[in-house]
Amino acid sequence: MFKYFIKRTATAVVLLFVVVFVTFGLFMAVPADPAKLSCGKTCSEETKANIRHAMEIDLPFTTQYTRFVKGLFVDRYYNKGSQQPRKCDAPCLGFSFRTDENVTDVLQRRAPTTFSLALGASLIWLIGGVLLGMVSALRRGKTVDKVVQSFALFFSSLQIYLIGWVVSLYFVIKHHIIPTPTYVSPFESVSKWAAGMLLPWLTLALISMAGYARLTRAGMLETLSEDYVRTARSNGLTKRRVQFKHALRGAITPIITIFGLDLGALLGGAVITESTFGLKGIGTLSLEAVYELDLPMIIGTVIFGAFFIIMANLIVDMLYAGLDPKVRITK
Amino acid sequence: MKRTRTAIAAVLALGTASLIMTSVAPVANAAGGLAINAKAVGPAPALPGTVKGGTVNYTGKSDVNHLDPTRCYDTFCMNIGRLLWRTLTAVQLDAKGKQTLVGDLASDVGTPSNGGKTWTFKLRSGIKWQDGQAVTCADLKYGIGRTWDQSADSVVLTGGTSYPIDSIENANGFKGPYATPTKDLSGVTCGTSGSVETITFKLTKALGDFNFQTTMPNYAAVRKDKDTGVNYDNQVFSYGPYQIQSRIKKDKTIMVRNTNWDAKTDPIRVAAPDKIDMLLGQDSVNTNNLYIEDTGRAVNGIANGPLTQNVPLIYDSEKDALQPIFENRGYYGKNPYVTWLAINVQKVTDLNLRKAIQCALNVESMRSTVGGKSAGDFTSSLAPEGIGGYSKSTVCSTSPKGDVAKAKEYMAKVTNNKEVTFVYSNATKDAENEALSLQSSLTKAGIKIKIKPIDSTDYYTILEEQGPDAPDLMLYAWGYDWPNASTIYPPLFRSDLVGTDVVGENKSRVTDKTLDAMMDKAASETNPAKQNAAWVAVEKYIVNTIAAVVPMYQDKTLLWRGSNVGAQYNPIANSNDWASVYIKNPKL
Repeated sequence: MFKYFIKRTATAVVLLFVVVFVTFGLFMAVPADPAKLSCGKTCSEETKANIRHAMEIDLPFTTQYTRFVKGLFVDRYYNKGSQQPRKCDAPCLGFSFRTDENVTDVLQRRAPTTFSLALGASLIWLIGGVLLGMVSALRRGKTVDKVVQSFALFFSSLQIYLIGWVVSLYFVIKHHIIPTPTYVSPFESVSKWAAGMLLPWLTLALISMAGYARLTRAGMLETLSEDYVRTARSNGLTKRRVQFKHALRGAITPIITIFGLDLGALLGGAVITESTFGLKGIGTLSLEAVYELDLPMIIGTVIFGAFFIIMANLIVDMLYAGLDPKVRITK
Repeated sequence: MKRTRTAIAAVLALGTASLIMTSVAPVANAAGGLAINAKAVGPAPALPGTVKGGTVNYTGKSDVNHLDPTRCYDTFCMNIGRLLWRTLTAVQLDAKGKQTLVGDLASDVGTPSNGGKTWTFKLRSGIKWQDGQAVTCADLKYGIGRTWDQSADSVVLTGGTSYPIDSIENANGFKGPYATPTKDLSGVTCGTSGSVETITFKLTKALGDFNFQTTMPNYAAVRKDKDTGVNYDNQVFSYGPYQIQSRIKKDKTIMVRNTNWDAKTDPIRVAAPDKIDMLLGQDSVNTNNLYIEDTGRAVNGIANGPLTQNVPLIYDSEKDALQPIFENRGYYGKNPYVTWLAINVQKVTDLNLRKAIQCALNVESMRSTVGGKSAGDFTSSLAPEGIGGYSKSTVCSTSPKGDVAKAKEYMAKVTNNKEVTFVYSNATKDAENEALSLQSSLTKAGIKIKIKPIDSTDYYTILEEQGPDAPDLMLYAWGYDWPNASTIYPPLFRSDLVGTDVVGENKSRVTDKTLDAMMDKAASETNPAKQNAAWVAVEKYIVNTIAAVVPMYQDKTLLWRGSNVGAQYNPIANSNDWASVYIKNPKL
């Protein structure tokens, strides 16, 4: 198991470096010039060249990449030898081309918003989705099942930006039932934090919950038809014990797997949800960075997102390996 | 400065004219240009009903690009940045919307000598930094000198204008205060006149309206011991009516009163609210809904820049006016941008063909495809009404529908009746309809015309390309940097803009030494009346003599704000004016 863990972790680290390399390569392939965007309207070729130099994008691709990777482990200096060198503490992701801010600082500032959104919403949709799916499976063919199925179909077909704007308009702007979405640190005020995140949580959860309800229903129906469940019933176990201890347990494994991957992706930045509700998280940061050709910020958000997705995959793999020895043998 | 056609199309699709707010079009002085007041003092003229106190909100998607004056070159930062810093001169907006050039850091509007190659300004006393220290000429010189920070071996303060570098003498190889801290900017000298500090500029060439150039943010003071280089953007040390309390870029900015600012020293800023609260990175649909419902932050809020969404809710196209519900919280009227048809004189070489195009163009028909009256008011000048260089004249016909008969007369004289190509961006359906309208009107006069859609991402690159694929005809729009023709005609028609590969803003590809000489003469003229006349002559030469353009219409803007906010339209910012905004009921 330990050997398997080491092997998977090493693969994950290599994958992260590949992601950075590919992102660098893709950025270099973009024809637009970040120096021109940064320079302003009246800009000479000489000034543009100086800006490229200050941004260090006039260096060969391999030099830029190796300097970047080195900066992840040791302090890095920009404009070294000039009148105003700039120090970037390790792990250094560079300075934003557009705002001159340290990318690591910006990520640290923005991450709590994304974490709050992801953890709160995922908790709601996991609990809500599993409960609805269970009810639906246990009442198969009944009105409740049909209502839950319709609910799942309806909300899974909606888009965040649509439902987000509609609920914002009616519940926040027109009727003031829910506070305006905003992030307040839970260390400052737990109630304000929850109130500020309530609408994004509910919106994101409603849409994602639908899929979990359908998945749970399908999983439970399949498990309930298994021989061992019938055996358990025939051995005299109570209906409730069979449903929760055996059927739900059997159905929950793939749900946890999907949940891990979904949460990992969400921690990397919920672009549309954050944009719709004006939350300044990693998602909106990555969007701004792409619009502004802000390479250091793009790399920073890509690494951030990739880290959580790869970590989620790693944890899921570990869980699988723990639950099913065949996995670590075959791999 | 350039205005994108995409933005124009969106704005023009709105609807039309009529002035609802307190503002009116700028009033020209007797000489024809902008009014000038060499002895303006504070307090600044306030809007009727102005009360002090309260918090004014800005809720929007985009942050201001830069608050550092050296890096500021867009209308948002020029508008709101004035709350933190002051320029040598500035344009005052009175309660009726009249614009006047006045001294800001200076107590006068400058005195030219040496035929316009030297300018001296007296500095206003009593202006203080937020820590109570007096603002000195040395601070101003240091601030101006930061513009030269463009060298490879120093921090590059990007984004600002290069006007000082292009205009001021620099004999010592000064490259900004970071790269060359021991060198002096030779063209700027501090002195005294009696008990008053003065600042003198030696220019590389005569500039008759240098005192307009000094309204640009580069001519703001920065104190050396407070200069934090690229980080100054977040830490501007104020000597305006407000100071930064907190700022997180693209997130939130709070400004509170600078207690060391004295209204008596300031003829520009009313500074009525106690606090400025900017919430950034907000979704535009939600923000617009707040303004439509007039609720939450929008009640005390002002928008920045023209409105391009939800237009039917605010604008009544039948009455050509704002909807009644927005009468007291909106603006609808002309802005300083002019849209025109540029004719590539290097490809459309026959003057008679160019004149035929001028006559045949049905501007009214084209305008109707992009919003009708709301797109703008017909004009025959590239300069907006009210500034130096504007003149009411006739291009070919007094009718905006053109004169096909006259166009045919010119066509009869054409020796090179080549097919001309009009390019347009494929970004909107309006642009295509506009192109079809142009094609229809030119065809009626016998002009062979082809219309060619260009991918919107390549559009501006294609417009400035040289070579066989360069377009013959294209629409363009331009607004001034300061309200005088010197930032309209030279940036658009100087021959040195036209290179072998690109032509910059010279879309008509004019390389005419006579015109260059006329523009140099106009730019160097220090007498406002003579200068204005010289710019009008330049304009007539471009439009009538060489027929390089067809002026079409002066654009219009639609703005909104909250019901508890009093504000007026600022033409330079093309937005609500931050200097005179007030909260009607500060308790709300």
